[in-house]
Amino acid sequence: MTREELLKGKEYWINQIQNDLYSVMEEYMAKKKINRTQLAEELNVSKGYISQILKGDFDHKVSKLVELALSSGKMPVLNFIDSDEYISNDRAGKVYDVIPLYRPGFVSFKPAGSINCYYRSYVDSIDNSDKMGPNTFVDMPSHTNTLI
Amino acid sequence: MAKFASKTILAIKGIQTFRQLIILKDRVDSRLVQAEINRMESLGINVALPGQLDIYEASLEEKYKSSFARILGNMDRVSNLKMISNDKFKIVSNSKSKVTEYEYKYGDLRILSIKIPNGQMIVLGGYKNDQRSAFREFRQLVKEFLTFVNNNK
Repeated sequence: MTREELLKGKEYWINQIQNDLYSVMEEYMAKKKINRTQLAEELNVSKGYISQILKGDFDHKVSKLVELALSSGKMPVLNFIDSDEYISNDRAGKVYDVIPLYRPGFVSFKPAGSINCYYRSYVDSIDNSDKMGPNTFVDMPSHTNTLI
Repeated sequence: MAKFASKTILAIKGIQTFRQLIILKDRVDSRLVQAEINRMESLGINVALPGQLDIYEASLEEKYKSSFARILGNMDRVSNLKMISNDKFKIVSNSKSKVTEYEYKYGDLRILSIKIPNGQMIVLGGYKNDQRSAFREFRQLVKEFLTFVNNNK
C-alpha cells in the first residue's frame, strides 16, 4: 500500500480520530486521577462505552464525540483539507497542526500600538495559514482576547 | 546462514523510521543488495524487492485489507510519537528477548516488529488464530537476524 493509498482510505482517518479521542480520555483520567468506572460516572456513560473508547474503537454519533470532548475540557476542532493539497504537503514533509490565530482586528494588547499589533497578528496569520490541522482536540480557552 | 537486508516502509512517515526485513537467498551478496537499496532510497526510487510486510500484504484476502490499513495507520501514529491504545500496539518482549519486540493488532491481523535505532523494523505478519506459531517463527527470525548483524559488523 502506498502512502497516498493509505491517506485516501477512510481507515486511516477513522483511526486517527478514534486514537485522538482515546488520548484525550487517557489524559483526562491521568489529570483527574480517576479510573475507568469513575470516568464513566463523570461522563454519564456506561463502563462498556468507556472500554470501547479506550480500546480506540469509538464509532458512535458525532454528537456523542462532541459531548465527550467537551466533557473532558477539550474543543473538538475539525478541519477539512483538500486531498491533493494534503498529499502534496505530506510529500514535502509538512505536517498539519492547529495553531491559534488572531482574527483580523482582534488583538490581545492595549490600543497604543494597535496598528503594529494588528499588522503583526495579520502577518502571523498569513505565516501560519498553511498549518491548519484536519482534526484535533484543543484545550478550552481559559481567557478571551481583548477587542479593540 | 540466513542473509538479510531491510528497506524503508514508504507508507509510514514520521519522526521514527519504519523499515521492513528482507530475507535474501543464500548466494546473494547482502552488502551489495543493501547498498543498492540505500542508493535507490536516497534517490527516492521505490525498491521493488519485497520485504516481509509486502509479502504479508500480498498474501491477505480482500476482507483483511481494511484491518491492514488500520494497522498501517497505527504504525504512522507510533512513528509520529502519538498516543495509541495499548490494545492496538504493545511491547511483547519476554525475559529471553535480546531486543524490544512489539505487536500491532487489529481484528484478526497481527504484525510483529523489533526496535532498531530511531525506529522499528517489521519482521513478520500473522493472524490471531496462529499466534503461537507466528511468535515462534518471529523469534527465530529475530535470532537469525541478530546473528547476521553481529557477523557483519
